Amino acid sequence: MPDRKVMLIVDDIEMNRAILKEIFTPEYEILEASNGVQALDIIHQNANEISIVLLDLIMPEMDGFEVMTKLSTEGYLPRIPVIVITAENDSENENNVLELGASDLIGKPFIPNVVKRRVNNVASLYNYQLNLEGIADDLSHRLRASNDAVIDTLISLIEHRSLESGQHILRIRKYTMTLLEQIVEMTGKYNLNEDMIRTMSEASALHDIGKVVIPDGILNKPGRLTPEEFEIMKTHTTEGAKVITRMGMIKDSLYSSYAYNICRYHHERWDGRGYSDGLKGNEIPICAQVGGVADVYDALTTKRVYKPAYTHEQAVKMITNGECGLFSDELMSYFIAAADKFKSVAQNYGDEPLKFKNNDAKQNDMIDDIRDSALRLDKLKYYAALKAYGCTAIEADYDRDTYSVVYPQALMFEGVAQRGEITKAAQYFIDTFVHPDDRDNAKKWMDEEKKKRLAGDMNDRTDECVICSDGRKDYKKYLIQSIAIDTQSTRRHRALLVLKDIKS
Amino acid sequence: MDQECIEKFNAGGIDVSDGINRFAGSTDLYEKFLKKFKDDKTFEDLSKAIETKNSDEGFKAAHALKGVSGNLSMKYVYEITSDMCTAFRANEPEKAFEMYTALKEKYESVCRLINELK
Repeated sequence: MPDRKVMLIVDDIEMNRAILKEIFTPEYEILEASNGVQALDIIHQNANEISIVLLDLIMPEMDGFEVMTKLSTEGYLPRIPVIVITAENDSENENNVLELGASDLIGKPFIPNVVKRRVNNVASLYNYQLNLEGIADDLSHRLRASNDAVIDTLISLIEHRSLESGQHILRIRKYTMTLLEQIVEMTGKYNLNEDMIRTMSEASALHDIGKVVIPDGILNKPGRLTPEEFEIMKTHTTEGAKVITRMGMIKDSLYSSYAYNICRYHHERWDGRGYSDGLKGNEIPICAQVGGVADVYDALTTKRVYKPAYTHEQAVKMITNGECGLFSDELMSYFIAAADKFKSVAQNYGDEPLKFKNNDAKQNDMIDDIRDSALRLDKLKYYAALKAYGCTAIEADYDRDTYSVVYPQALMFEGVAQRGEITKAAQYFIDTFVHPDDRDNAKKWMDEEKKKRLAGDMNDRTDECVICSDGRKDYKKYLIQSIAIDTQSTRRHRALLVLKDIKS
Repeated sequence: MDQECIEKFNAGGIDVSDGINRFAGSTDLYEKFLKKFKDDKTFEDLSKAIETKNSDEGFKAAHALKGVSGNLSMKYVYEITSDMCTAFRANEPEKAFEMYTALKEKYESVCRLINELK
């Protein structure tokens, strides 16, 4: 997130802009526009930097209502809050403006302080939401990654009854995504958005799941299939579709319907002479068309029991010549445009024996992360904070006269144990590491510390102390702080003692 | 602006402390825009509209002048233009046109005050 926030002020009257600018400088970097057209220009060019827009309604060229409408349809509103500041603050306008998606409406003339607070409230709310989205995104990515690894392995098992081609499913997903992205780059006619592409690619993993019902003898036959065997093989499309129907809503209905379509229709042909239903032309769902290309490209470029691997160039030729299924000319043009990307996927994700060890390690890490109990997580945060502060931290329990060094794990003061009795250790520490001139003071401080804590004093205490950490050479100034650990019980008296090297 | 000046302004229909507040506490900025008011064409536009009895243009100008005078805390000018806007909105332009004379007087006295600013 950028350090200084950027605000766009839109008003045709210079004075109004000047007043608002005065209120929000220097907290915000200010951009100005004097009409709707300028405003949209600025927003288009600076969408990632702008935190908030203050918008007037009545302006020449393009008024605030039109700006709001455009921002709404162009999808900026979820990310960029708009506060309308206008003299037209009757209730009808208020309703209209809020309906169009404004975060708030402030009437003119306004009180600067009020505007400031309301604007800041809205801005920090959006900031918070965006941060949350970032965190949620992160989590969902990791979950996805871990899910994908498991699913890929399982499906590969089902498909091939062997573990030799674990990367096949991964490649199919990547080919599907690559071709879909190419399509979106070159045409808008299929109305595909990022979510749809991602879901279709994931669904393509299931395209051959129907093979689970095909007998081994046919699935792994090294030679050509007889016509009867071929008929049975063809059923993997409809059987797969049945499996997906039975699986029901695994993730969400979009995923299921893409999976169903890809499964059932990835062997259809553009001329209607494919199987299972003989769909023709655009009757074939785009996800299935793309899945079909992915499947045939992978089959051609990898070794199978019934054939060797062909080169990338041979595969492209065979596919575009209609030698392995028939696709639309249009789809072929997209495929050719994406051919290089297909080639890199084939090269980067070629078949190798499944490395079980790596997969295990990766999955274990993820499981561990998820398994961290709330307690452990808090402790980890605590250690991280101490580490960031760069100090020695000791928890002292005055009732039991015991201490324990929390951080760092290896104490730099030799001879001082990780745990022990406070009184004895303090004495030893002072005599060994504290500068002779400071020792009396240190002893007094420690005595007082014990006395006060046991008496229930919860105040923080600080002092300076000259210490030499290796008992011989340079003495340095340290800060010693005692912070009471509130145990909510009047019978427990504990504190955190923190020693920090002050850079003198 | 010295104390004497402030009192003159207050008496003449410009609420100085309110104005400074509107400009987020910046006296300099307030003064700057007071001086700029001389160049503001809105009153001229309004005068033309009154002459030609053009209620559309009259409303636009009255509304704009209302905004500006409100920001500069010119109390009387603000009140009169406010009333004019209400009349225009209620489809009673005649009433608005009638308020012009009173507005002109207040407008001119405000301009005189501003001209005295260094």
